[in-house]
Amino acid sequence: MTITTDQSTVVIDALRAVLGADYVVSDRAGLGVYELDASDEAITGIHRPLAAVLPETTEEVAEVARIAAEHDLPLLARGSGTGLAGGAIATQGGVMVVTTRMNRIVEVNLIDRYAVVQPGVVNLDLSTHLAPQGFYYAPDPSSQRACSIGGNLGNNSGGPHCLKYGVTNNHVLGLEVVLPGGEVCRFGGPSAENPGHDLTGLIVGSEATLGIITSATVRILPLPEEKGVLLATFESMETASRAVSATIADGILPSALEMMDKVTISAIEAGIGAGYPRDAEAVLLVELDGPTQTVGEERERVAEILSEHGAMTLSVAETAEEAELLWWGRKAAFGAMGRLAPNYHLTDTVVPRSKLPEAMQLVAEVASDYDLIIANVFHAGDGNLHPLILFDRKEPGIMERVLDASSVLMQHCIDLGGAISGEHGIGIEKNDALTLMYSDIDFGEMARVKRALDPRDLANPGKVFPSNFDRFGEPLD
Amino acid sequence: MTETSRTSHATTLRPLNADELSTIVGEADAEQRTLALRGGRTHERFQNLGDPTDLELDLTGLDGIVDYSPVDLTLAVEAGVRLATVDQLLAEQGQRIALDVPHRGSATFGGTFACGLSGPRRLRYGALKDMVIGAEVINREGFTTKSGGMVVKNVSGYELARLHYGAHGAFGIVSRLNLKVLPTVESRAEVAATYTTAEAAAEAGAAVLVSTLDPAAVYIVRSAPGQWVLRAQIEGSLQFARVQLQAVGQSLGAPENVEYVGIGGYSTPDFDRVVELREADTLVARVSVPASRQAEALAALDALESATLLADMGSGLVYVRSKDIGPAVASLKALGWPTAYLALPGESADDVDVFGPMDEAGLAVLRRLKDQFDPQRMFNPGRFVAFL
Repeated sequence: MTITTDQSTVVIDALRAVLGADYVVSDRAGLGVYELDASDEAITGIHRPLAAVLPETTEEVAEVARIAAEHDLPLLARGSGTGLAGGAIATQGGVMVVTTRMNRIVEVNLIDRYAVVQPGVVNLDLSTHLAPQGFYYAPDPSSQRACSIGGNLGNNSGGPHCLKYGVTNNHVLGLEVVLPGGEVCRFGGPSAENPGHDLTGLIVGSEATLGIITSATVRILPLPEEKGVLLATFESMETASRAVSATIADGILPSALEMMDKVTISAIEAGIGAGYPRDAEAVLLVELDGPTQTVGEERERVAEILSEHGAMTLSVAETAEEAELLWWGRKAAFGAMGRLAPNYHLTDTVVPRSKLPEAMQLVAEVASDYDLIIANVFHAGDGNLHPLILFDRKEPGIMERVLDASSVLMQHCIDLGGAISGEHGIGIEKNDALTLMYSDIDFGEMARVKRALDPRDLANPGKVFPSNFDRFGEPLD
Repeated sequence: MTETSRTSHATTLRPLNADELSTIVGEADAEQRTLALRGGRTHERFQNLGDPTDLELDLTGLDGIVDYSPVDLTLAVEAGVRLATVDQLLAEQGQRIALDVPHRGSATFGGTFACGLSGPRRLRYGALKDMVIGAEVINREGFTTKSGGMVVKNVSGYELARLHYGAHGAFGIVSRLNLKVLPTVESRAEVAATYTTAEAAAEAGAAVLVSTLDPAAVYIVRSAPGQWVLRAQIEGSLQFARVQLQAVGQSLGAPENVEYVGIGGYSTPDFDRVVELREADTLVARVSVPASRQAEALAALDALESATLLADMGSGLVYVRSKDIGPAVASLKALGWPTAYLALPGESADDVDVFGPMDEAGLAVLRRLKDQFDPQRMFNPGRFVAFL
């Protein structure tokens, strides 16, 4: 999107008139922060928006949207900038709405089990706020200390606990959305059903390509009375995968079921020394939650199942501190990868749980074919793989090899009946890879949604849809 | 009565698979014919009266189980599959779908999804929309389109299934649904505590909802004027149920009477009774009232002496079922909470949007979506929200 200096001055002046000069960032140094997010810049690039604005209210967001539309400029949304798929990258310039100041928890209602939050509320802050009252917000992406709920809504984020509690979309009751032209719409509400037609679930996961969420009514839950954690080691990823299936087949739904491979174990042990046996080929972490007595029963049963399915060692946390210790290694896993290589590329894919053994085999084959080290640390319970391709960016030609390997991994997962992203989003990292799953006719249906809500393609343009798909061409007839 | 306009179509077609359905829709589009969509006819009163259509499409012929992987806890069904068929199939593998919908022998998955109906156990298990992991939809050109897949976690573009959920076919015909299923439970039981005021019953329900107890459903039914029964459903192992029932029993304040009752079947019988839509002379309303405000709503509705009242605290919904149409409508209007009519008999239904009021800007979006997905108003014309 090209814009003349005169035009940009007019736009920036108009934005300042709405927000005040302090909350309109337009200088080169100030915009540096907003040129990238947590995605790999080698894939998504570095792009500067015309301006980044920090509104505090819905009305201000609507005004900003009107100014952007008046000048035919892209309108982007950014939460904490922790997105991994480049969803908040200003590839076509434009005005970036940064939700940092929209961080109010507006209302909490325990009996009705909902909270109304602005999009900039940090995920963990909501649960921390609710904890003294015995409640929490269930979706917990790994970046929950930093990521915003608005970003989670945009990406329909997951986390270790969606095995039992479902992804973000299952926890949203209502939304307020500013459309690209500045109209403010409200969908859903505190009740599970509301009159009219509820488009809440369609907006969640649309990565700000339909508008900007300015308020969300989210479901909150009583904190479970008890948590139980078990850690088992196995002689192969395959036996560990079978133990996962056996646990679920027994009728037990753990709150989390996480698996790590030998590469990951060695990184963790080198990094923090969590006490995982270094000779194990696989570590399985099982968390159970619920009423004390249920957790006790299930913990015993899971221990039996894991032993029957070839666990070499088994640790059972008896106290909250012990549970924390067992989780410690898992939580430190990504950070510990630095012990093995300076860079990693994470491929967030999904396979049906029963295909985990095959998927693990295929990951190993890809690692060997492309002469790369791939670590596996993932949400085994819902089949959500996170192969981490380890590399050194300084090595000539390496990036291409890494991306090729990642593409092959995605294709393998789709061939096994899976998907190309479990929880990290599409953005500009995987928009072209979506063609592995969907036909032009499928994209045509998504384009109808896009045209209805954003007929001028101003909202986060260039994201989600494949780059060669003309979503604003003639309707498919 | 203008009820007949609901069935004033010339021909009924019953495709036996998605290909036949595609062909019919494609031809109807080319010939600019309009289509009325039918499933098991258990909830067909839940729609606006609409315009007469050229054709009726009976979708019960799409009755194949496409895929069932017990180890993955996933199931794919064609839209015309009956709920009871799936209940039986899953039970053979020790699994189930925890969804409260009546008339399971007739109701189809496609119809249940299109009507967006779920009952009180949504508190623990979510609504049908939360169980859907993928869908196939025949669009207006007759093409089969898909979204999602057969995995339980999947971020892959817009969640189109959420557009079609509760949309009564307004944006296309759902031909296949992919679902997550659950292991079955050893025990289903409930605590039923009777109070003389709605306030006392709601207070007891609220205490359960903010506790660490783990009920599948919490709701209040009026058993007689001035008799309010709080029911907390417990599902799980025998041991779990025993301990939970006891704990719930201890948290109930001072009820007149407490009973512990087992629950059979695949749905929730109280809910099934209140949303029974087949009786032509009966009104059924669904009012969106959060749990914390339900006591006052129930106290106001108590004047409707012959009505059945159910307040689903876990879902924030109050259901009213009555044959005294005029007084019931007047009471609901006076109550002032947003109301949808699942069934509204009589001539008043001609100009009432049974789906209830919607945010004006949101409705403008809905109209634009309809223009995109069905510009010729081919699917169920006039029967959806705002007579779209």
